Formats: sequence, structure tokens, C-alpha cells
Amino acid sequence: MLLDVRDIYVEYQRDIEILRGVSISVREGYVSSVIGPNGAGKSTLLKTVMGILKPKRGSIIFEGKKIEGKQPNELVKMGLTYVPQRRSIFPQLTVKENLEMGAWTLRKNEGEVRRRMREVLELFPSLSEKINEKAGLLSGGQARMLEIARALMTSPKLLLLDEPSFGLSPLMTNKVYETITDLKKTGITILLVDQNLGKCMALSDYVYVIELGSVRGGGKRDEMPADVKEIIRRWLEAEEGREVESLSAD
Amino acid sequence: MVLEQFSLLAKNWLFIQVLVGGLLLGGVYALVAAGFTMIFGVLKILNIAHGEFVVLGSYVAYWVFILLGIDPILAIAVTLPAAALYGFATYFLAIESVSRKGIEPTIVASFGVLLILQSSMLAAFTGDPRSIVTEFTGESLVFGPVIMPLTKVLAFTLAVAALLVLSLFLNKTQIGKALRAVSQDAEASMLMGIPARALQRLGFVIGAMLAGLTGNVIAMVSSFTPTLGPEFLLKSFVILAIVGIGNVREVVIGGLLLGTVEAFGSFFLGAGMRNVVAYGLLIILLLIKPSGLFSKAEQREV
Repeated sequence: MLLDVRDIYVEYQRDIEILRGVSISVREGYVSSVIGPNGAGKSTLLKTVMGILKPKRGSIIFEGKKIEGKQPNELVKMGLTYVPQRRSIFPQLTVKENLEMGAWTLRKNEGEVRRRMREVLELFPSLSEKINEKAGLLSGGQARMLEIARALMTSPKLLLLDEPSFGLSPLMTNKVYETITDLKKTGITILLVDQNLGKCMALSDYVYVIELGSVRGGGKRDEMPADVKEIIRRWLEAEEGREVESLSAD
Repeated sequence: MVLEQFSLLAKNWLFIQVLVGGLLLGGVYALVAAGFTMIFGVLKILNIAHGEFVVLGSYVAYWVFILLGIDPILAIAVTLPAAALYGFATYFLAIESVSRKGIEPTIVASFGVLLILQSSMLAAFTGDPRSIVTEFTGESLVFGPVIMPLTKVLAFTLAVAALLVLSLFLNKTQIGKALRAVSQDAEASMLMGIPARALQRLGFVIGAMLAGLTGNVIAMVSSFTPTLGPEFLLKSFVILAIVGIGNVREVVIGGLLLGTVEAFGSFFLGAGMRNVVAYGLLIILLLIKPSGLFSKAEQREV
């Protein structure tokens, strides 16, 4: 296992336990996702793995080492990287400078930074066209691409993606997911959280279902226990219903 | 009366003379505001004691000149490290621990620093006005009808050179870019492994050094007292109101604009009205465009 989250408890706001004994495993070279309704604790889980939130109990093991309580900058050096749900580009820096900042931990090695930038831009051709533009001028979808590209600059072992389709149009959501699918082919390990169940399910090798701060079940996508499959089926139906509604509303 | 002044302006090249005087002063204003916005940018702190950092710089230059006989331009080599030191001490002792609790406590803390520094300077140096008189203090450069005091030209040149170095540092070096990244999104910068806390400390120290340098330059052109600080704070506020939290170039434009408006204001209304003009401008700007004349959403940085 690349990452093992074992029985963690997290208090987010005063006395509200958002995670109550969550355990998941992330296998190297695969895409794992955590799905669940709003407020289930999906983002809390990623933030806790990345060291932004501290668990009250439980342990997080990355490549055999305990990492709970470590700061995000230490975790970046160990090979974790996190793309938050909110917009997090540096708007006044150019696209290129944003990527350079992503490679901060490699900055002593200029050749390596240049090599990484070439590799990353091959995955994101739309960004190379705007390489010298201010990042604040990018569209929502392009900004999301830049955030993912920037996170890849350190050649991470594990990419944590928090709601990559958040706030994007359906068209841009498709584009972002196409990119994540390309990323998957490069063999990088991804832990993904998204409200877009259909997309998430299609992409993932392993799926965990989380509700009210607890894991209801999970495992290999195609070998899920019947009760978990049933929960997902209901959510997917509800999601399709919403999409049909929003289409007819147009 | 005002009409007479107008005809004077038109007749004797006075217009250019007043304009040049305003621009020379504006360069120095830009320098003080650059330090103030640097600290606000990286830390989201309004450093109310910024003016005292300036005045301290003036006293450092003054004492270096009086005690060691070192020219105020060379005294910069002492003023800059001294300013870095009192900036760091202020940050370490008064700001850092309260800054985690939000912006309001830092305003109160830096106001406390203002009072402490001002009283200490009054106790140590008395309230007597001081000034540095060197061989070139009385010299002037004459271009046709326009006369420019040499010290003011030197002050302006030093200010512009410092702002140029600052701009190059922020735009061309990795650490400078990281400082801008921290000022735009500190949390995101930490996710890249950028040491945001250390850079915020550095930003505060650089802001203090810019203030100290301003003080050094002020000491070359005019007399000063320990209570002059709030005036420089006011100028920084006005420039902020003009440009918003912009980049160095915008701060320079704001400084030159303020210098010019003040120069013409005091020409028409009398030198005593200089600060009234500045305050008036601040109030008008806050009323018509509180986010700054040139500012756009999503475009705030160092």
C-alpha cells in the first residue's frame, strides 16, 4: 500500500466530529476515490492526509512511515501533493511562474525543473499556449488545469485531488476528466474526491463510500459488496435525475 | 489671490518648477508606500508603526553623520542593516504571536509599537528638530528656469534606484516570486512546500528596510523630529487609496501623483495646507472608489 489511513478521527469545527474512524487504503499505480454526499467528510479526509488538519486519533502511513502531524511542506518533500477544491492559482504570476512555484522543492536543480516543465506541458498543451500570460486571466477550467499541472511539477508519488470539477461547466468538467484519465495512463497514483459520481466511478479502480464521517464500505470498483453497490446505484440515479432536471430547466 | 497665483504659474515657468518639486517628493513617497504595501501584501497587516520605522532610519543616518562624520549617502550601509534589525525585533516581539489571531490585534499591537518607538525617540533624542548639513546641502542643479536642490535630486534618485532593485527582486528571483506567491495565497504556497512563515518574516524585514532607507533619504533633504512618523503613515494610506495593493510600478505612479498634487496644493493654498491636501485626497478617494483608483478584483499583491 502506498497510503494507509487507519481509523482516524477529526474534529473540524467545535465538537463536531467530521471523521469518525475512517480507514482507507490507496494502492500504488491506481486511482482510488472517496464518494459521498455533501458534508460527508470527503474534503476533510484529504486535508487530514495532507497535514492541513490534524487528526485527533488514528494514524496515516505513507510508504511505511507515519505521517500524521507532519506539516504540508514536509509532505510535499516526501512525495504527496494536494489540489484544493477552492481556486488556488497565484493570479498575478504567469502560468510559467506558477509552475516554477510548484517546483519550489526542486529549485536548486534548474535542469530538472526545465525537464519537469516540458513533461507537464506535454500533458497540458492548452497551458503551453498561455505560458507567459498572467494566471488570473485563465478561464475556470484552464485555472483548474494549471492547479493540477502545478501539483505535478514535483513528480509526486501520490496526487490528492479535491473536487476537480467544482464550479466548472459540464464541458470543462469533461475536459478536466479527460486530462485526469491521461494522467492515470502515466501510472501516477491518485486519490480523488468528487461530487460528480458518474465521472468519478468511471475513472476509479478503487472506490470508498463515505457517509456522515464514516466509511460505509468500499474496495475494488468491480467487486463491491451488494449493499454498497446499492447505495451507489441510488446516488447515481439521483444524480441523473438532477441532470435531467437541470436540462429541462434550460 | 488664487487668480494671481495662476498667472504667476503661467508666467515664470513656475508650473514646471512646482511640478518637478512635486515629482521629486513623490519618488520618496513611493518608497515609503512600497515598504508599507510589502508588509500588508505578505502578512495582511497594517503596520501602523511604519512611519516610526522611517523616522528611526532618519536618526540612524543622523547619528552616523554626527558621530562618525559619514556622509548620509554612505550611511545607507548602516541604516539598512539597522532597519532590518529593528524590523525583525518588532516582528518577533510584537507582531508574530498576535498575527495568528487575525488582523485587528496586529493593528493594536503595531499602534503600541508606534507609541513605544515615538516616546523612546523623544526621550533619547528630545523633540528638537534635527537635520544633516553637508557640503552639498545648499547646492542646486539649474536647468534653464528650473532649479532643483541637489539633495532632493539625490533623494529621488536613491528612491527610484531602490524601487528598481525591489521590482527586479520581486519579478526575477525565485525568492521574490515566492514572496509574491505568498502574498497572493499563503495557504496554496505552503502546499508547494514554500516556507510561507519564513517569507512573511522576510517581507516584514524588507518593508522595514524600505522604511529605514526612506528615513535616511528624508534626513538628507529636510529636518525631522521623533513625532514625524504618522505623517508618513498618512502618505502610505493615500497612495494605497490611489492604487490599491498594487505592484511596485503602480505604487510609484501613486507616489508621484501624491507628490504632484501636494506640491500644487501647497502652492495655491500655502505650505501649511500640504497635509490637508493629502487628507482631503484620501477622503475623496475613499468616498468615490474605496478599493483604489486602479485596482481590479483578483489583482492584489505585494
